[in-house]
This record gives sequence, structure tokens and C-alpha cells, in this order.
Amino acid sequence: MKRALACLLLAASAFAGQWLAKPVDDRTFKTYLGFFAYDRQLPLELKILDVSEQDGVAREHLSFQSTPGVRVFAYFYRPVAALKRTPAVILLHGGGAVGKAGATTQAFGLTLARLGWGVLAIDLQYFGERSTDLLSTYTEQEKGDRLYNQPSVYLAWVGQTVKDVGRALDLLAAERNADPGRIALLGSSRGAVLGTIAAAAERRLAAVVLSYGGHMTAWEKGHLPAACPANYIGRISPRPLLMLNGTQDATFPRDTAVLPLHKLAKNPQQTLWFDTGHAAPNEEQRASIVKWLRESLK
Amino acid sequence: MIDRTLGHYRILEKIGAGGMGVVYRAFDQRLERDVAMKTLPPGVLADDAARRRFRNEALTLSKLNHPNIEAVYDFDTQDGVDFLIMELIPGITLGEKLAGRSLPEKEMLDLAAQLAQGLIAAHEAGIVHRDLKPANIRITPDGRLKILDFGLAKLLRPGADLAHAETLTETKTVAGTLPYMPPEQLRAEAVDARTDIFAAGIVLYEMATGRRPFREEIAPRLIDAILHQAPASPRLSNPGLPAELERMILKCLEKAPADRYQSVTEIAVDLRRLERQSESGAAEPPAAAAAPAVAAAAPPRRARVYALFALVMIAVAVAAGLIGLERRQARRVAALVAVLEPAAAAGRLDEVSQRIETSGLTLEDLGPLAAKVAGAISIASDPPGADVTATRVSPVATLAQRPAIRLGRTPLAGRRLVAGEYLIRLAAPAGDPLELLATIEAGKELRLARSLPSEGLARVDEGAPFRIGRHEVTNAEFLKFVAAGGYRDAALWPAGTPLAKLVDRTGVPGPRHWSGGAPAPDKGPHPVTGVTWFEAAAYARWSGKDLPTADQWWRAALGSTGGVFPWGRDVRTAELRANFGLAGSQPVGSHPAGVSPFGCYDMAGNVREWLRDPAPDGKRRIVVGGSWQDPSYMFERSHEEAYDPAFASDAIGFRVVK
Repeated sequence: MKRALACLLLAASAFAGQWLAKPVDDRTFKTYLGFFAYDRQLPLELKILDVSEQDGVAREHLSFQSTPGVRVFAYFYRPVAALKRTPAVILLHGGGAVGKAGATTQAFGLTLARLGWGVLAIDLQYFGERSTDLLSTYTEQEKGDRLYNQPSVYLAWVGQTVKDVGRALDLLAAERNADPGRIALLGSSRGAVLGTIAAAAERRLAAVVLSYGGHMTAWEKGHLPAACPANYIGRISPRPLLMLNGTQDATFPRDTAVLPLHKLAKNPQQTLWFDTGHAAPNEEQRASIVKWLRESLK
Repeated sequence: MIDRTLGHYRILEKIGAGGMGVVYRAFDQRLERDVAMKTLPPGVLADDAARRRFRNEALTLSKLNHPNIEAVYDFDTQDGVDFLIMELIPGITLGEKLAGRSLPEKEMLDLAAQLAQGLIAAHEAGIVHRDLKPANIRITPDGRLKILDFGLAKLLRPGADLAHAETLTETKTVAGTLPYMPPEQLRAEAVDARTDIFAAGIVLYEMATGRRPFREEIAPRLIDAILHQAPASPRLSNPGLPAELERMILKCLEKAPADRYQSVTEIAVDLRRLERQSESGAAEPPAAAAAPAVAAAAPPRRARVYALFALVMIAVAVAAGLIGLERRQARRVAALVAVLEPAAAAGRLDEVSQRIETSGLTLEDLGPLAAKVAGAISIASDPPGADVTATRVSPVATLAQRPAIRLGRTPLAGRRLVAGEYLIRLAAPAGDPLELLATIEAGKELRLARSLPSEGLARVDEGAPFRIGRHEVTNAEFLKFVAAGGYRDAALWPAGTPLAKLVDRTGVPGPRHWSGGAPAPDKGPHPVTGVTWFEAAAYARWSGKDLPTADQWWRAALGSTGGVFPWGRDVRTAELRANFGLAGSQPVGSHPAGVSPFGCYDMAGNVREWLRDPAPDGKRRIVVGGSWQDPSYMFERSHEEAYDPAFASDAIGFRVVK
């Protein structure tokens, strides 16, 4: 284990593109999974902070314990009248300061809850209600300087996020009446980057949607291999994977950040290209996602 | 002139001089009494017609017989000198009596009542003073108030109640009459009894505080203040003043005559009501209630005695009532301060602001607490004279429901507001309003100077100045371009425009999302979308403008504020302050809380905007600002994207510069 760690850190300086050309082997990948292990016996300490209702959809504002002393804040959307175990979706937001409270997660929360599903939108560490001194303006410059281009900080962030997703799965099945075999992950932008890793590491996820994500943004320098989506995307299979991207996206440029990553994905997979820039999925795109999720979580 | 005799009046000594001519003490040799003789400046009565008018007016004045009005005895012309003979009143003027100090409440109320009675009598006779001021009010040694120079202003300046503009700019005028002129008189509009009510309000204000409400020293500023600024609360200077009396004074000082008391009788009525509201709960003093009836029925002399008695009674009763009111007011203030102090200490200034607003009290009532929670704002605008309102921005979600606070007109100096962020709106008499966001800090004064927008263009006057669309070009605006045959005028279109492809859903020229050559009926105020860079450029050329360069666009969006978004660094409210909500475009200007430092709307969100210059590849064109279908961080410059100039989407529009 120690040797593997040393290998990892040494590899940090290596050119990030190398993992796109040749992802790590199975043995190394297994050492990565060690990063994401967490204590399942740790109490979730679920707290409901508030419940609001809108047109048949209830939104619970809640928090739970992810790792010792670390609480995740989240919105849980559900139909007001839910009877049996339902499919559920975990939402990972993009790089906006408001985290889970952004328009995209809200749109998916309401739409999918109307299908009768449960939807858990969590705040990523450092975002939304989990903000710290690390980020204040949330500009790309700041996020780059303090998080995305700080390899060890970034890896720790990735690790925490994967654990948070694991704990979200625990919570949904144990506390929120979700069918453990029908829980999907939907990540947008930065949430898609992290979601690629979480989806490969967390085998309980039944389906994965990566919306406007990629390997890394045009202004990131490169990550430790354990934090590179290239080393994970091929390991989501055999679970179904849907990827949506914009041809004009300047944040995750098609030719350098998206196509090489997509090439590593394995079946069953589907890619949808839209003639847009980096964006939140519009109605048509959301409809494609909903349709795909309904098929995948049947 | 001394020792000269005009008519049967021998001039004894000069006792005053002013705009109305020179005043002498004279001896009436026929009735053997001392009188005041006012000689009119030479040339005032230039011809017989003028002299006839003067005679008629003087005759009317001489019929005014009231203890609170200086009596006119005679008028004549002798040796080319026009003169009036008037009652000689011992004592000092109110101006001399005040000398910058306020009067004790009881004395003030007594004098106010006398002033009211004199004005009522004159107004009933159809005479407006037009030049009421402390220098024209005399107090006799036994406390009698006399109004001097009634009607002389009109007599001596027939048809010209407003001194000429050049006179108004002279400083000496400021020291005299100007500070007491109501807006309608300054504008040379018709004057009536309400003109005197305004001036009386200033006199009352001066008696209550020792100062005038409008204290500008320079005439144009003073005129601007009278025309546009709300007077400061008299209780700022005299905290002991009863709230009801303050309300009465401020009602006299309303800018619009229709908003003031409509007659001096109403002022008297309010005084009586004040008396009834007194906390003592005592029955209405009979003398006060009976006074008007007695005055009307009894012979004049007796009536005057009764009226005087009644007024003294009113004054006493009012004073007693006011003391009660004052106590109640003090209790209200104390209760409010007790609630506000913990909120202020915890920094909950939205709550402080809201509680003050709903309490009916003002910042000025709060004493030392006000200094802890409030700052000030001063605003100058080019051109000046814009109506200014302020609306507290936080909490952003309910901004639209909060009422605006009216601050006055520009130039505006030192208006106090509870610290926090405000949406400031400057509405000019002509041109477009300007909205901007301002953050007031406690104990500090924020000074702003802004050029007002016009022709739909905001002025960016930091660095190389230019003008830029206050909002994105709308469907309605673009329709004019289409209707004017813009798509058929080859001269408007850049080289390489694939004009044949630029058609709407029905195949006729127009944006891709239009139908039948027009936008959907309810989309007129929305930004035009579905347009290529070519169409944006052609529209700009057609309207005599241009597309913004990246430098211009970013300067207009952020200024030199160092902000992350047009509204600053509050990144967590992005989706409330701009249209990033995934629900489609919205009418331009729907998000005032996201306005840029120069008054441009929707720089962030709503639709992305084409810029003029090509991307580094020389072919594609840059698109900025983020849109309704983007996450908010897409506003950031690092997220600029470039598209083929023939690309169109329902999330890309444009604005223009000039």
C-alpha cells in the first residue's frame, strides 16, 4: 500500500494526457479503491432541517454524516405520496458557488420526483452549504489556484466526494425508501468529472449520466492519476453510461478533453452531441436524459 | 428726505430700506400720530396705468383691518415720489427675534396662531402676501404679531411674481426672499394662498428649529433644493418638537400646492384636532370650540377679543396635548430601539431596516443608534434634477415586493440609509432612467456621480468613454430592422454572409425562431435570439451603431469594481440576480438586482451576446455573458466561447455600442 502511494505521488508530475493514452492497470486501480473506502458502521446521523412542498413534490433539506465529523448537506426531492421502493438518482452539481441549489439540480430534482423517484442532490465539499475559506469568489482562477490545480488537495477532494456518494447510497437505501438496485448517478460539468470516478469506484450505482463533463478543463494542468477520469471511465461498464456534450464547449473542448475520454468508455454507452457551448442541459436534452434513465432503471 | 414733507406727512427718520424701497418714520400732521412711510423705488409706477393698478391694490389693502396685519392708511404721489402710509409698529422683526435660535414651544404656538389668523383674514379678502418671511413679520413688545408688506410684492412687481432669472442668481437675493419661495413661484407659475402656506411653513420651521429647511448659499443650488429636495426633519434639529407639529410643518412644505394645506383655516383645524387628541382626554375646551362662531357673530372688536382669548386657550391646550404626544413618542422610540439594538449588534441590518420602515419612525428618531447602523449617500448626475429612489436589495428574492424610498433629486447630498446594498434609481425628466447598485457602509458617506442614459444607451465614462445598450436588442427592436427591409439591403451585410440561409421557420428572412417574419406576439420585449453574428452586425450597422469589442463589453459589465459578476462579488445570489434559471429567456431588464455599474441589464444571463471581434482563429466570433440555459459561472470571462458567425441558437443574442 505504501509503495503504491509512493508510486502515485511520483506519477503526479507526469503529463496528465498519458492516462488518456493508457489508463492504469487493474492492480494499480485496486490501490485507488483503497482511497475511497469508508466506515459503513459510522452512524448517518440524518437530520432533516426543513421540508417544503410544491405541486406534489416534497423537498427535504437535510444533512448526514459522511466520514467522521464531516457532514454532507443535501436536498432530497420525492413525491409527496410515495408508496413503495422507488428508483433514485444522486445529483452532483457543477462548479457554481451555490452547489446543490443551482438551477440544473433543481430542474432534475423536480422533474425526476414527478416521475415518482427520489432524488438526492448533495453539496460537493467546498461548495454550497459546505463552503469554507478555501473558496470565496468561485472564479475559475480561484478554483484553479486553490483546488483544481493543487494535485493533493484535489485528490483528497475527489476521495471525499466518492465517499459522500457511497454514503448517499447508504442513506437512500436505508432511510429514503430507495430500491438499492435502481440508483443512478447524474453529474453535470465538474459533477460529471467527479461522477466518472465515483461511478467506477462505487459499484452499487446502476446507471450513470455525465452531462457536459470531460477529462479536465482547458485551464487545468493535470491531476494525480488517482484523480484522472481517464483511469475510471472504462470501468463503469457493464452499467449503462450516457454522455452529453456540446460541440462548441470551450470549457471541455471536444477534441482534447472529451473525445479522447469518450474513446475509453465501454459498452453499454451512448453519446449525445448537441450544437451548443458549455451549458446546462436544456429541455430537449433533459428529456433525452429522463428517457434514458427510465429505460436504464426499469 | 429727512424733514421733508410729502402731503401732510413730515419725514422724521429713516428706519429701513429694502427691495420695496425706503421706510421712514413720519408724522401725520392731520391725525397727529407717527406712521410708517414707504417710498417706492423711482420708476416702479412708470405710467398712469401702473399707477391706477397700484391705487386699486392699495385700496384693497387699506380695507384689510386685522390685528395681525400691518394697516395701510394712505397712498399718494408727491413731487414724483410714490409713497404708502402705514401703521408704525414698535418692536422687532421675527428674523431679529429668532437670530438663529428656535423659540420655546408655547411662544411658537402662540405666534403661529397669530400668523394664521392674519393670513386667514387676508386670504378671505383675496389678497396673497407672496413675500412672507421673518423679515416681514414684526413682534411688538407686548407679543402681538403683525404681518408687514401684505400684497406689496404683487403691487410692486405686477405680473411678475418670479424675480427674473438673473436676479435669482444673485447671492443677495438668496439672503432675502428666495429661500421662502415655493416651487410654483420659482417656476413663475400661478400663485395663490398656498404660496403663502409654503412660506408660512418655512417660517414655522425656522421658529421650531432656528434654521431654514433649505440652507443652500448659492442661488441655483437653493432653487434646486426647493424644487426637488425634501426638507430635513425639523426634529433633527429640535428633537423635542412634537411629531404632529412636524407633520404639519412638512405638510406646508410639500412641493406640489395640491399636497399642502389648501387653506390656512385647515391649519387652524389641525391645531384644534391636535388639542382633541391630547392625552388628558379632557373635553374640548368650550372657548376653542366656540371661537369661530363667536368671531363670526359678534361685532368685529368683541370678536377679536374673543378670538384672541380662544387662541391663547388653544395654544395652552395644544401645548399640554403635545407634551403627552411627546411622551408617547419617546416611549415608542425607546421600544423600537430596544428591539433594534440586539439586531444591530448581530449585524441583522435587513431586519433593522424593515423594523424602522414598519414602525412609522425614521432613522432620525433613533439617536445614537442611527449613527451605528446608518451611512449616507450623495449622488450627482449629468444632467442634474433626476428623481432618486432607493430600494434595499437584500433579501434579493423579495426585492420586487419592497417599496422604494424616495431620496429627492440630484444633486443629492448626505441622505442617510441603513447600511447595506441598495438599488438606486435615477429617473430624469427626459431620457432613460438609470439604475445602479450601491452599498452603504455604516458611518461612511458614499459619493456617486453618473451620466444618465439616453436613446437606450448607457454611458461608460471610465477610461475611453462610449455608450452601450442598456439591454440586449429585443425582438421588437429587431422587427423594426426587418420591417425596414434590413435583410434586403446588401450594403448592411458583412462579406461572406449566407443571406439566403438566414430565414425563419416559415422560410422568410428573420431570426431562426421567428415565424412569418415576426416574433411570437408575447416575445417582443425578450432579447432577439436565433440570430447569427452576421445578423447582429447588420442590425448594428443599420441602427448607426456597432457590436461591442470584448474590451468594451467587459468594461460595461464590470467597470473597475473588481467584481466577479456585474453586481459585485456576491456569487451565491447569481441565480436570483440574473436569468440562469433554465426557464427560457425573459423580457430584458427583468433582473434589476443584477444591473451593471453603468446601468446595463442582463450582462450576466438571459442570453449570451455576440461580440464584434473574431476569436484568435480569425474566423469564429466570441460570445460572452452566459445565458438562461447556462450555469451562472458561464458569465466569467474564462468561459468565453467562440462560434461560427453563421451559428444561431436560442441562447445567443447581442447588444450594441455607439
